[in-house]
Amino acid sequence: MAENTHQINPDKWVDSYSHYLFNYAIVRVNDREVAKDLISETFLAGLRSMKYFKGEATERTWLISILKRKIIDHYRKINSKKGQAEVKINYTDGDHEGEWLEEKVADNFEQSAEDELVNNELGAAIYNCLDKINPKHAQIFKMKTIDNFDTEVICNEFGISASNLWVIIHRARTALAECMEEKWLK
Amino acid sequence: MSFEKYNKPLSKCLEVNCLCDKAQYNEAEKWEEQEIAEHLEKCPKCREYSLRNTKLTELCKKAKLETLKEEEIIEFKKLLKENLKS
Repeated sequence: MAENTHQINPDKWVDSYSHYLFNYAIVRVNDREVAKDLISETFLAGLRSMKYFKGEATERTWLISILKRKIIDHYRKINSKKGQAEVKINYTDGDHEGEWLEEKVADNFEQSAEDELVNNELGAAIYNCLDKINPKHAQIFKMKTIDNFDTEVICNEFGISASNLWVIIHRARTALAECMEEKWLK
Repeated sequence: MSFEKYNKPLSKCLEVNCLCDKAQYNEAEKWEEQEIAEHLEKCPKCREYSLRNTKLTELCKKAKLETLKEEEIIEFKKLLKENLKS
């Protein structure tokens, strides 16, 4: 029998998982505000159902399983507004939702276009790898590559010179490439 | 956090690799691009890095990544803190 070793710690949820959850949500709902609302709902549902966490799945998998349900729920609401309730789900809500929450979900999610699925996987892979590298390097890489901040702004923010920044970007890109090598860079 | 360790003199390869990174963000000057080209011509290891680096940029673009802003992260923390109390 597998040991239930995973612990739950809501104090670390935002720092550890918010970017990953955000990326997971935004590629599916394609709306920044909706994605943020879904993550808020996910965190709140997580708090409500913490008592049901058995430690069989990782905390992140558990939170993704909640988010996945929230996304389905979101689409269900949209569909019912349109009078096209096409998404059928079968789960309870409220205090008992934790009972279904610890299912071991894969982090992928069915989408109609194959390209979108690949891009979603790719996004998840990049965030996964960024989670594994030096947090400061990851932060600077994200600011430069994803948020497109000017070099000068990042340098001022961190009190570093431009050449320091490019060395950090280099370290981040090297670590990221190594992490992604096997599946994405060959 | 101290960045003193990054102030050491860079090796030529590291220097060129950093310029390659800079070029990926379209921030390399003309003379830097020339320096990259000259170095890549004689350094297979850096050519490999450059190739992989370009692929990484393509992947990042393809993934259409977005991140949360600092204030949005603070909002999430506030929400959790308030609800952890109750």
